[in-house]
Amino acid sequence: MSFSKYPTPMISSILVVDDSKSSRKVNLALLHELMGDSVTYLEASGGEEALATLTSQTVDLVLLDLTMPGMNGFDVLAEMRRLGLSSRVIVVSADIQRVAKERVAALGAVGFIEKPIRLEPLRAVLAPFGANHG
Amino acid sequence: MAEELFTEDERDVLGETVNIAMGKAGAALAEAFEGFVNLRVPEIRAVSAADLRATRTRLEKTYERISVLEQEFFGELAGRIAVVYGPASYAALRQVLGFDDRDGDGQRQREELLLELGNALASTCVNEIGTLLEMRTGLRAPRVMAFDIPTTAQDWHLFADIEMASGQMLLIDIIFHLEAHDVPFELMITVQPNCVPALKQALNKRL
Repeated sequence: MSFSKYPTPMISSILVVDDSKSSRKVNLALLHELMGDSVTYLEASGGEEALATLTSQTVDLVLLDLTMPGMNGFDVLAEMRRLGLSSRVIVVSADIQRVAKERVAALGAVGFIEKPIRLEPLRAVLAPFGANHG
Repeated sequence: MAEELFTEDERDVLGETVNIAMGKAGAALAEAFEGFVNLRVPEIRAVSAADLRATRTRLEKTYERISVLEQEFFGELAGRIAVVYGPASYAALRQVLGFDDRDGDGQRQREELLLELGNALASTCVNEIGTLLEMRTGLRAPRVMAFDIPTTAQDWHLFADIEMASGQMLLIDIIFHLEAHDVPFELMITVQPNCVPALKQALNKRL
C-alpha cells in the first residue's frame, strides 16, 4: 500500500527502525536485494535511538515499526513532524488496523507494509525510490 | 526467567511472531468495536505453577469483577489460552454489542457473545502463531471459567489444572487497550513444557 504521490527522489541512506533484531536483519537483507550496495544502511532498535540518528545525520528513507517499547512508531512520526524532519517514512508493522494505517498516513508516512514483510510488497512500495524491478 | 527456556535470539523471533499474531487479533477486536486498539509489546516469560497462582492474585488486585474464557489448543503447539475481561471491558462489550442486563434471562446470550469474541481473539492468535512457525495446532471449544463475578469469589479459576504442574512453561501476556472505551482486554497464553523443544526448533529455523 503506497500513499506516495511524489516524484522519484534519490536514495542514498535508509534507516531501519525495529525493536526486533531478527526483523531488522530481514528488512536489511530485503533492502540490499532491492536497493543494492550503493545505499548506506543504518539501524535503530527503538524510537529514541531513531530520532537521535535522524537529528544527527541525513537519512533519505526510514522503515519504521509501530509497536515498540518506550517511544512507539506513532510517537516517532509525530516527533519527526514537530522537528521538521523531512525523511520519507514507510511503516512496516503488524498493527494492521485500518485506523492505524490512516493515522500513520495523516502523520506523514508515505507507505505501509504489513508484517511479516515480503519482498514483493516492499519492492512495490520502494519502486518510486529506485528499487530494482526484479 | 525466559532465558532459562530460550536464547536471546529465540526470544526475539518468538516476540516478533507473537507481535504479528497480536496484530491480527487486535485488528479483529478493532473491527468488532469499530474502534482503535492500542497494541503494546507482549510480555513473554518462563513461569512456574507458583507464578501462575501469582498471576491470579494480580488479577484479583487489578479487577473487582472478572469474566474469564479459556480454550485449550493441541498438537505440536499445545497449551491453554485465556481471555480475561475486567468490569470495564465487560461494560464496553455490553454497550457495543447491546447486552441488556435488565433481562434476567439474557445471561446465556451474554455468555455466548463473550465466548464468540473470546474465541475470535484466541483462535486468531493461536492459529497465526502456529502458521508463522509452521507448527500444527488446533483449538478445542472455549469454556467460560468465570462470568462477571467478584474476583474475591473462590469459585473461578485461571489455568486451573496446570496450576499444579511442575517445571517451567511459557507464558505470553498480551494486553489490548480499547482506546475509545479506555479499557483493557487481556490475553494469556501458556505453552506446555513438552512443546518447548519443537518450539525452539521452529524458532531456530527462522534465525
